[in-house]
Amino acid sequence: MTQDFNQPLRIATKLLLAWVVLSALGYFYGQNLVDLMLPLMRGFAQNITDDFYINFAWQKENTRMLMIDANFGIPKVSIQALGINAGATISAGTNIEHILVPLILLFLLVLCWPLATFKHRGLLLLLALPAAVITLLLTTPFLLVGKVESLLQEQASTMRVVREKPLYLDWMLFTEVGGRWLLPISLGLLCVWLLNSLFIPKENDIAK
Amino acid sequence: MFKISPQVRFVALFIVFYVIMHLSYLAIPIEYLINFVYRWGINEPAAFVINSIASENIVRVEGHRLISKTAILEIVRGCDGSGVFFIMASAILAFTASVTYKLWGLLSGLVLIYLLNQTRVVVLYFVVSKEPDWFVPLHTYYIPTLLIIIMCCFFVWWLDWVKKHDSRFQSTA
Repeated sequence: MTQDFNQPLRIATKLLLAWVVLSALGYFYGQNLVDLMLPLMRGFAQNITDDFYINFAWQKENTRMLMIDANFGIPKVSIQALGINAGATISAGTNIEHILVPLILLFLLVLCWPLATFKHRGLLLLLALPAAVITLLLTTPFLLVGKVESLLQEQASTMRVVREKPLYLDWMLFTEVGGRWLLPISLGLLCVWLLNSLFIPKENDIAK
Repeated sequence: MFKISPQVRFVALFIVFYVIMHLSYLAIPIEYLINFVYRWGINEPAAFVINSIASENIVRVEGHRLISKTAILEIVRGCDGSGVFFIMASAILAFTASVTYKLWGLLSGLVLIYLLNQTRVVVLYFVVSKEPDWFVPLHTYYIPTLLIIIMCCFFVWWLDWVKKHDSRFQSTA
């Protein structure tokens, strides 16, 4: 009975400990991790829209803030109607803590999911690596490009110009309300399913 | 015959329920949220608590804003705990359990999230008022991740409770 009562408490303790460790890792090394991913994220973001040229860089005054510089190098009718000249740049940003939230949730799940052996934990961590890349690509580039698009939408509204609302703005809103929590949790659960179906049954078969 | 594993089914239902709740939430007009839900559901109770704790700096409510001499805190779409509730509710709905147990889970989860979110609003008000530099890390990272952890613990507790009492999980041996 006591053991049953302790089970949720044990999971809570494990989650909190993992959260403290991951938060410390994120605080000290999060920027290096995002730095590694910046070229991929920039390329991905450029595929979301061709309304502006995209550059990602850390803000000089606040080095924990990732900025998007959206340069309107190409004179486009849709942009010129908003009173934005070719060559103009709009900036927006998000801080490192915001970027890391979905990754921390993914690795919390991976580190705390009940597994029998360290080997399984290692395999789950390996499976989580592509999931982490997917999570990062589906959140941060959309958020930054979406922030620029939101400014363009506001400008269009001020100028009384009709500007079509792109689908990726809906995705950005979805991720910002809670989708950025849903995504890593779902991907983490799918990693657990992959681990169970690819590795754990095979070991049982060998044992038979 | 193609058979979907229970884990994949759970994840698929989890996502579907979440998306349904998210779309329904977006369908609520922002004016209704600001003038009714945020004002009477979040800000007035939060202002009452803040004024009881720190009566020297009176807080007043203006729609979705908490305003005092030292701070202005704005409640916008998504700051109402809806995201955390949708995650928890989707997980409960996606899990195979009797309707009664699901309803109890949803109701107690809703109460828990409401109380946690009210605490979050009060804490964030004092942070903006006294230590504004702490606002961004607390608002964007520490509080949301902690809320998700608390929800996970609640879900584990609910699962434990369902497995002990729901006849679907009782052994026939």
